[in-house]
Amino acid sequence: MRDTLQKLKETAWRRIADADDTKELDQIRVQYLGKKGELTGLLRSMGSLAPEERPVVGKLVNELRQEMESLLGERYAALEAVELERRLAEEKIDITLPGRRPVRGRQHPLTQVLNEIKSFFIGMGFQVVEGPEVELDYYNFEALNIPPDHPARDMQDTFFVTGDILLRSQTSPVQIRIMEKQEPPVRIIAPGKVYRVDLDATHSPMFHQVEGLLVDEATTFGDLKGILAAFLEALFGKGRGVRFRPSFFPFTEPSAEVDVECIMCNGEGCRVCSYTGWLEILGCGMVDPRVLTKVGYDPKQYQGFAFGVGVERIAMLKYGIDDIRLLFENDIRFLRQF
Amino acid sequence: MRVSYSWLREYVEIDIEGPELADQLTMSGSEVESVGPMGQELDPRIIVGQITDLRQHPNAKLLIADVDTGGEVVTLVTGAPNTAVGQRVPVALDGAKLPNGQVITTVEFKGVTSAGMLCSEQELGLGTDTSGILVLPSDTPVGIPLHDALGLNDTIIDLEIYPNRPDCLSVIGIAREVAALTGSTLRLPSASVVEAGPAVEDLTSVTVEDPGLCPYYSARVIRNVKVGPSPLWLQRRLIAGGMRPINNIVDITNFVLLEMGQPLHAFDYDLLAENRIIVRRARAGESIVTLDEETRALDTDTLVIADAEKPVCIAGVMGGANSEVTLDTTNILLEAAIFHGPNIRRTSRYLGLRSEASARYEKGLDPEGVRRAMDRAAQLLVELAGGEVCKGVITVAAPIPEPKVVTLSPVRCNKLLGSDISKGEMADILTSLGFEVEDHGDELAAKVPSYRLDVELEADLIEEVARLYGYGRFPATLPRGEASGGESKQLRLADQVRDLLTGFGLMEIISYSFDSPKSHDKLQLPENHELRRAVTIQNPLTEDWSILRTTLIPNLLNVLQHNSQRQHQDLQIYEIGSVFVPGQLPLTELPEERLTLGIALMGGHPRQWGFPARSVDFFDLKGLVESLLDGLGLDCQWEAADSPGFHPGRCSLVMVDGVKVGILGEIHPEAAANWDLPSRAYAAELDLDGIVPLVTGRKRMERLPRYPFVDRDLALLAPEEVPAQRILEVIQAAGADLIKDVALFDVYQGPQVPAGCRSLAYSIMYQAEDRTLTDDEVEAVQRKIIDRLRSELGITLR
Repeated sequence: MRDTLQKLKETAWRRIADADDTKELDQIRVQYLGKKGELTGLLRSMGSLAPEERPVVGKLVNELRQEMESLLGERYAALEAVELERRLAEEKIDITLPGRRPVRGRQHPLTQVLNEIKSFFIGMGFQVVEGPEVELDYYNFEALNIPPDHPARDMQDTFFVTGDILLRSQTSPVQIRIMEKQEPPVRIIAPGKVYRVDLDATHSPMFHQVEGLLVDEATTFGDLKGILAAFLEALFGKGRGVRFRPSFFPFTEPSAEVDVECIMCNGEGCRVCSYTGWLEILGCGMVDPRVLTKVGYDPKQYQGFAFGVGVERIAMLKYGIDDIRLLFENDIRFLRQF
Repeated sequence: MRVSYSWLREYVEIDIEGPELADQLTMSGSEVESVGPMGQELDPRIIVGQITDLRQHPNAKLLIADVDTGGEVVTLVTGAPNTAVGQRVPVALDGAKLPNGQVITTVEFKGVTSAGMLCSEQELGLGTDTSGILVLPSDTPVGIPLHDALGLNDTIIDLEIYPNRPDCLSVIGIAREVAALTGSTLRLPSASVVEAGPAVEDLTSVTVEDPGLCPYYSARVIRNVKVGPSPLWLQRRLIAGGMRPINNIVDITNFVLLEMGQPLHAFDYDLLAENRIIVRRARAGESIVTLDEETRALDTDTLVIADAEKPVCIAGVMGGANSEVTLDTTNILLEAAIFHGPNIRRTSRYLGLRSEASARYEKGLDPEGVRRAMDRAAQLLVELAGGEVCKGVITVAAPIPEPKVVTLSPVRCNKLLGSDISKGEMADILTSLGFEVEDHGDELAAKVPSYRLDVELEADLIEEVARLYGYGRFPATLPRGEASGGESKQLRLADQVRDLLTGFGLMEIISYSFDSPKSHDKLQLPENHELRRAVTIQNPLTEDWSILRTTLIPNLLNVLQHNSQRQHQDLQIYEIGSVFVPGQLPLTELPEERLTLGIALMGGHPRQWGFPARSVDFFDLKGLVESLLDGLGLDCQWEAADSPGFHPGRCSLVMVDGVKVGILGEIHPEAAANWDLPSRAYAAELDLDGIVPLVTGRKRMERLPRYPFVDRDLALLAPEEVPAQRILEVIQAAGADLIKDVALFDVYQGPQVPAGCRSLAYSIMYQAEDRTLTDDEVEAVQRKIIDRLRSELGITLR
């Protein structure tokens, strides 16, 4: 019996050592330790032994069984490690194959610029409002201190629908519509489309403006300078020179044109800034008392400022777009760049 | 307004260079557009010569000229038709380089050696005239470089003058600004006339029929003028101001226009019927040939200067050829007037004719300046044309108004500007600009100079103070007061839609609000379709942009077309913009503007490895819209529609809570063909203004389920005419509240499915809130569903 056990052990030990994979180990386990396994069979056949031999052999068989279990376990772990390594090696992929991308949509560059402008002024406490694109002559001109046949009308070549209905040539009429409805304080911006009879690389028959208006009892020209300087800093970055110079708009007085240091040449002078070092960026001024009177505000009590920003102009400068028409052609190769 | 630096210096001391002066002008409100040399550098070997002899070339149809070049006489060959002995002319000598790059050398023309070339205006880069050589004034010095003779070494400052400052449309006006800026004194030219001969009243008369349109008309008669070229200095001034010298009479009127800003007109006195002037409106049907040789039909709102019979001038705009000063003119009638600005502007626009004169009249003129300009011109006519100024001036004018006095409160000024400027400094600024200022304690009273038509209110004085004080000197502050910013519901919705659609991978486009009636034809809209009722623009840029859009779809299709013609045919785009819905036509009130969303899809989904290639279809668009509305918190329903422009079998209305909010479908193949689209296109249009009130933005958390769900698949064989929507409704009704979700995961029609049927496979998710469902419960519901599908819709299990 001892010999049988010894033989069985030798054979089993050799087979465990020779096993190539865990599947074979599983077979070996079944062969020796399973319900019908050889070692199990030995235990079962102990009835044929002499009673005094039984405990001795039983102990031997159980020891062998434990030894085999532990050997199988070790071997199992070793083979598993090998197999994992092999699987990982086999599963190697070409990580240079392109990734599968979800399609990324884009907002139009003008929308992006408009959003920047809106968020600055909303942060400054301005309400964003809108007005009609098809306007009455009264709101687009007369209420803004531009009577019929006034030379200032030549500053804006206007599309007409009837004698007194037109496509607004500026967002300024929204100023009037808001002041007519609302008592001061008024603090609004009004983005929107405007229209002028013009078409070349720097002029589009439709373009976008953002109008701003702040009227209360104390807002000064200095406040206008401060808020626009902060706005331009938010838009074009810190440290860029900004200058205010006198200009003329019929509905503001004093009026100013705001220039920023050329963002192409940093003020050195280049083709983009016509070698002046400055870029005209927006128009503004203190609301003309004639306009305040027209909407029923007392100009002795109320004062404030208005400004108008051209969105295309800013987009063109920010992104280096050299032809305004690109913004409305909607060429996918262009839109994808923003 | 072009101003020459040297001309400016005749009226005001300037001790700074052109660029610095330009900067100061810009920063005080006279915007300088450019500063630069008057003309391009001319080669010094182009000199002034005098023709001493002219003879026929023996072997050619050319002339041989001997030209004195300042001591030395050169011989050259010329073909110019306008040469004459004694003329002073530009000569390009051997080696001279013309502005166009051509180098002149000594050459032989059929046996005659030519040592240079006589030059035309165009060859010298001075203009466009090629009809002959440029003939210089007879007082041009011979032998000096042409560049110096023409005064091309001057600096020209080109200014943009704002419409409120017509007083700056003259050299003296600019000089006045310069004097105020630099603190120097203004020197005005003399305008003293020596009168002789008969009284003007004996020679002519002036009748103003419409004083409203002509508040000031004055006339002088100057006799025995000698018409000829102007002297060099005068021609130089005109060229510097951007005008062409014509003859001494016309040049003098133009010179005074540039110098003082007052337009003048000289008539040939003897060509005026009855030698008299009537200022009146044109009569219906009248016309006139203007100085530019165009025939102009006049309307009755046009003011004309007429003689006893006919119009001789369009008032304030352009003179008539019938009374033009020519070489034969001996007596002239000189007009100095003020016309009603808005009327001149109207006429000038009506005729499409602008002139230096009309540009000034329409903005308004200084009534005090008319007489001075008249006398300045009369003086020059005596000096330069040998004229004899008849005694007196006929003036038909309303009395010149008293000077305005405007008060300025220094406190209010500083309160508006946020500044701390002293009263004394304010007074000094106003004085430097020609205001007469009196200190009344709390206020300054400023008497406004007659040429400052723009100053009426305190605000106008504040502006003067601010611009001369310098905008740069005001402190930059921030507005005080509390305010909270925000956007309207409509704008927020638009932002939200943009974010969602961009997230879905679409490109935003922005197109013009303009459209063409042709688009409606291309969409095949019926004759009286409501989308054809559009706002029409009176003065469109082109027929293609002559109406305002009533739908976004044509522009979306234009963009599909534009890109597909550039090899980009897989497109998913959207636009948010207004459509314009007119009430009555022609418009009596503003049209309704409805914020609208348009979406268009065409071509395939992006091809990527690992995915089968697939074209977009109706259901991609439908799903997009469903997800979009879901993102806005809205459920939508669908209702088959047949709408022009869309495929009749592939079009649906989009409904939310029973309200129609939009339409979507496949673009009708004929419409797609009209846009040359390479493949099927799909479009949706949603009325965002209609959606705004439906969006509540309310969100409430739902408790997470505590019991597991059970999934069951159901493969059905349905008659093909049964809409999927019906099947879904039956499943949901039969399943009552145990069904959490129903997903259709396969639709099939083909060989394995009987004709007239389609196979639909659903995955149904069952879940109860209070217990774990048993198989028996689920089976019971499944059976109920199957029974009802069979009995109500004739559907069987597959």
